[in-house]
Amino acid sequence: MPDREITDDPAIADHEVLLRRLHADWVVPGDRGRMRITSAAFKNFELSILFLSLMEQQGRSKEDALKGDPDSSLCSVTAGLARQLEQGVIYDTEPPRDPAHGLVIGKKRQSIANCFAREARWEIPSEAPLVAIEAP
Amino acid sequence: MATPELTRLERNFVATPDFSRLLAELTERERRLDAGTSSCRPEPVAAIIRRTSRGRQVAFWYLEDGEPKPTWLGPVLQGFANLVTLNDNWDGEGARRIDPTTINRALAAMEEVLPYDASAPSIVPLQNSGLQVEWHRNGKDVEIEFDPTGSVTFYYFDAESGEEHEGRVGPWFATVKEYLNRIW
Repeated sequence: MPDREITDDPAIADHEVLLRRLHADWVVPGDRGRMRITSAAFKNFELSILFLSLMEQQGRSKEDALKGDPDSSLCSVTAGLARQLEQGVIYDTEPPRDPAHGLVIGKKRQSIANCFAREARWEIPSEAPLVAIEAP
Repeated sequence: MATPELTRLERNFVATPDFSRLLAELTERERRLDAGTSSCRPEPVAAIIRRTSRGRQVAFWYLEDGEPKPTWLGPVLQGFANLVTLNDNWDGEGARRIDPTTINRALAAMEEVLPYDASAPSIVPLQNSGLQVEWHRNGKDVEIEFDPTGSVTFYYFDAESGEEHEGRVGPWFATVKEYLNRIW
């Protein structure tokens, strides 16, 4: 498939916080007794995110990003990181989209998706959960 | 002396029901190989392992040859069962369910790349209907991505040295096996 065009909105500052919802299957055991975010969460060409600043302007909390989806977690990256990884960042707020919705656009090789996963900050929960140890 | 191909076929082979055609092919191939070799092994018979995920039961067919099962088999089958039971829009963003053919290709690959006593990988869904298997051990990461188009790629990262590699998986997963040997 040919690479699609990457668009970027220069009005979005590098320090903008982009919230990414994590499906339960995208949180996997790491090797230091903590769970970690899999790169699978960051592979879509058009990666769905919510702008924290827009949510705050709309009087919404981070928890609102997980509304109706209690099994999911929430992490964040910055628009600056996305641009360092040759991605574009745009608003995508037209209905029926969420009014804080945006996209991180670009081809995400495995090294790029892994960089996102390593650099992502835990939001909900606030730190990586402990790896559950199964009873013998 | 057994060839590598024969060795692979001698092991248990796991598949979901959609894979019955290939299972039949392998059974036929094994029959042909058996015809040319002398063996005291019992004839493998088709058997089923069941796993439950999201309230649904998933059946995996395999060839039971009486040998002990690999240590990773149970967790790996549970991981694949978790993918089989994902419905359309599992991510809330419109992703399609995970492609069954891709699941079966990945299942066959596990048998190819994993030693008998290997650590089980995490098995995770991708939004393009593909899947990824991944290991994170000793500060090193190995991932194999199975795309629904048939493409298979790998990724390796060593957090201590910063060494990083990615690319297409070659024949017999030789490169992936090399990187996996660094993390066991």
